[in-house]
Amino acid sequence: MKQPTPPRLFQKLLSKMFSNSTMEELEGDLLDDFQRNHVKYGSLRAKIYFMLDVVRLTRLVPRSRRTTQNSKTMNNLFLFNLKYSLRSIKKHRVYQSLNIASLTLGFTCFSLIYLFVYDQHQKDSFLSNPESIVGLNVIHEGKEGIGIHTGIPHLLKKDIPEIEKVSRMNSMIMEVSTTGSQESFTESVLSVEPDFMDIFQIETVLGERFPKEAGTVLISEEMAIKLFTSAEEAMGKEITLTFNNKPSKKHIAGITRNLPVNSSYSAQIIGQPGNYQKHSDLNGMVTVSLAAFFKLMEGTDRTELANRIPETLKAYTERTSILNTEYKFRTLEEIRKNPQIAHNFIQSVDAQTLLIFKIVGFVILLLAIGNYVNLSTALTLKRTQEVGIKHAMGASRKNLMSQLLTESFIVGGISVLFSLLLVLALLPTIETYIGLEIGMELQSRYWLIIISILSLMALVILTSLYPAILFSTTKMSTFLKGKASNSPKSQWVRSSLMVLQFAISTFLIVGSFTFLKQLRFINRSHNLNKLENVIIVKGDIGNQKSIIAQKLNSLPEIDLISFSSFIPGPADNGVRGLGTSDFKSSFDLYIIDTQFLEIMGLRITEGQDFFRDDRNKTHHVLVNQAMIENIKEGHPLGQEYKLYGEVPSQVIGIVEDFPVGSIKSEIEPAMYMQAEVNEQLPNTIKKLAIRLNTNNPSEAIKKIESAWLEVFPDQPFEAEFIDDRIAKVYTDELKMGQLFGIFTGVAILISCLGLVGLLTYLIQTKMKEIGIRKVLGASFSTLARLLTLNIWKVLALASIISFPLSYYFLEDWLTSFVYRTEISAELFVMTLAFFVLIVGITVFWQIRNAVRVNPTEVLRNE
Amino acid sequence: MKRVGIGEFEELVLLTICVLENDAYALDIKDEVENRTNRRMNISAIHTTLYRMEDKGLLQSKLGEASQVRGGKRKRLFSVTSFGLKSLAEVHETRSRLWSDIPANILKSLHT
Repeated sequence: MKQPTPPRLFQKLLSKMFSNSTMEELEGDLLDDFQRNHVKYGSLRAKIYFMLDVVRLTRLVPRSRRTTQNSKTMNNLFLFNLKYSLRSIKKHRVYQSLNIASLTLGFTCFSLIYLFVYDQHQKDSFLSNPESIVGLNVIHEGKEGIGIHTGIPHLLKKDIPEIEKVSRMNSMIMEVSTTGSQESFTESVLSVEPDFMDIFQIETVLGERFPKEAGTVLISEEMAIKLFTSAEEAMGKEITLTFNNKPSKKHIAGITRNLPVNSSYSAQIIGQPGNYQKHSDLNGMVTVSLAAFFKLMEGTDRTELANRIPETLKAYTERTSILNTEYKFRTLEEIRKNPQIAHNFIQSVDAQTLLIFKIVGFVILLLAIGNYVNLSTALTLKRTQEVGIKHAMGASRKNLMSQLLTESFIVGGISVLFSLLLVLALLPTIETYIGLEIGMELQSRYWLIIISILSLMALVILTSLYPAILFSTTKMSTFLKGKASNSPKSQWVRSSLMVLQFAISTFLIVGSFTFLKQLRFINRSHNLNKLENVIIVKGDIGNQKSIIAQKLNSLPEIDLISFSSFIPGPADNGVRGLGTSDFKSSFDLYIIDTQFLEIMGLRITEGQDFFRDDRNKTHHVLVNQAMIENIKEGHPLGQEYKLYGEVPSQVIGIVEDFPVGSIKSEIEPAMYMQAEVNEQLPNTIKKLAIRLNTNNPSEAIKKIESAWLEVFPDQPFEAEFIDDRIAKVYTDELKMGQLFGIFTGVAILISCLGLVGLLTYLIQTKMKEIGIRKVLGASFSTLARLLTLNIWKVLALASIISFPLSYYFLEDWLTSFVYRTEISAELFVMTLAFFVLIVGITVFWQIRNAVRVNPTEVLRNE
Repeated sequence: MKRVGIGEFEELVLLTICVLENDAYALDIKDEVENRTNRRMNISAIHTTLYRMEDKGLLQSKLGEASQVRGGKRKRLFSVTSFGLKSLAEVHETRSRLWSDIPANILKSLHT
């Protein structure tokens, strides 16, 4: 009798499902079962049962694919992995500590930078509808000026329905003290109009909503506590505000609620509006500019509204300086991002600076991560034999991967922990250093910390997937032969990572050095050397001028003295906002004497200095070079302009610019009037510049102080060196340069760590080769050349990529400066030389180690 | 020691293997179960259960001798591990304790 057979198709399917597996018995069992069923139930039912059984058995397929003979010890034991990982980290502690160091550095820098960036982003988030709060600026010749003519804001409010509220604002730094107390501190005092409280959403805790009555102010809770221990105590008390040595007493009419920590503006002391009325006439002689803030109706198109301003003002004036200019509404956010258009009322950070820091943060993170991948891949390949043995013992791919991931989890965890501690330790220092406090609510701080820890850990795990996959996919036999380290694929990845790292580091080095060079260049361009010995004394000198001059001139330490109304430098270009219709914008006015120009190291470029003989006239004035551009028509030399006095002022000479302001900003136009021949002007003399010719300035200053106190017993002696004073203007840039330098240092350090690690690895894998070559008589230099050939290639490629790019970007950045340095070729050469040096030292050190070892030791090590 | 839950069918199969004095193979187990329960069994259901119990550690298996009978395919012979036996005993104990605690008046209806 012919043997009955089950359906052919299903038989094939069955053998396919369980071929190559240890479950070969299934096929036989099913066949036996079929035979029995055939006898019992007949052909058809047996066939149906067989088919159904085959279908049902498909669920066993995954089980058969598993390596069924799994060793229990290798089977997914977390604790085992942990223990094993710790041992392996301990074993490779040199590499792992390099890894941890570079990750920690990278994470710390990244977190610090991102804390500040995030902080900037969440500024003013407490405001409802912050878009509607705008300041109004004018654009003169493409340059944006802060504030507008005092008369304009209220006219606009009257005629434009979209403007809901308006307040002009002026802020002045004043000395604040409780009346009768000697202790004082400086604080900015705002003089505003009632709508200000609504525009900036300032709430009142106690008392009045606005200082309505004359001689009253509002202070914040914080200020109240600082001055009087508590808000209740402070109500109705008196404080003294001193400005320009003129004290005025104010009653506290109300207490405002502290602004949230993340507000970009501060309103500690709010006073009454100034007497703007007298300058409010749009056709008046004198133009006074003031900052003005508006609250616009929701959904107003700011640009369209600003374009309507000149038309609105047509009804009030015919002045072209008002009608033909462009107006611009700036939101708080725009002001915050551009210090050029920000008053000291709103804390602003340059958007470009922020962007640079963002990029630097990312670059550093990238470097650290790249380094990590590179080193851990190298490390993985070093452990080929270990992996081979594990494979042989039945470890699956999953086991191996989880083993590696546990290791990177530990390494990443340690780095994150370290960097968390570092960030917490460094944050206060950095906050005070850059003068920006991170204003974040406590709760969001914690959230930020948790989120960043999680995401950084995730990042580490993700990046270690590459070595893990590499680790687990290579065939066991290759592993056991120890050949995986020569796998071309992994070498390609590591080389390109190296190229990237080098390129980034080169860019950072060149960038930061150019930045520092630019700063040095600016310092030089300021003639600060000439000003080294000049000190400035301030006070109400007025008519006592000749007396103090006589006393000082008798001192041998003093070379030259000069009296003036102002000294160029920060926050002292006092009479800002002067100007008549002959000038495009307002300019600074200095009342000076004949020594002033010499002491400041300023030269006459055109025309001439004030006459020293009887040709001198009271109406002779000098202007600086920037003023030439500020004249509406023609060249100022020889021209006459109607300013204050009866006689129009005549420009007889052009003086070199004294560059003050931010390193990026342009020089303000200035006019110099002479003090000696003008009867009204002596009262304005407030500054005394003294040039010393001594090596012992402190001694000289003491003498000057005693002379000063003899003449002005009631005025305190306040002196400072002019170069310090000017340096203050650049502190922001200097600090940024230093911070940038630090971050660059970190980036370079990370790259170098990576380089050292990689070279060490490279040489250790080639120990045997070195041994053989040494036996055959290779010299030190041959070995060095052989071992570093690849590194040189990488370095060359990185230079080719990064040099043109960095040149392009830096050139672009430098054009934003008024005074700019050039990018030097030496810098590129030096950077390259630096890397060559680092590679050289590492290789030398490693090869020396390798060469010292007896070749037999290495060669025997099988 | 980890507790392993034993299902009703698993218990049945385990007990059957014990009755077959270990080294039982799938078809024998199937026949035995069919004979004792008067139910038709699927060979695939038996297989799935056997492998599951092996994974749980209740059973252990080895491959038998190759023979000419079934196209040279070897049989897999299953035996109960001591852990399997212990688990069976536990189940049995639990049940018998429950049985012994049933009051007599309820059991009465069983006998009538």
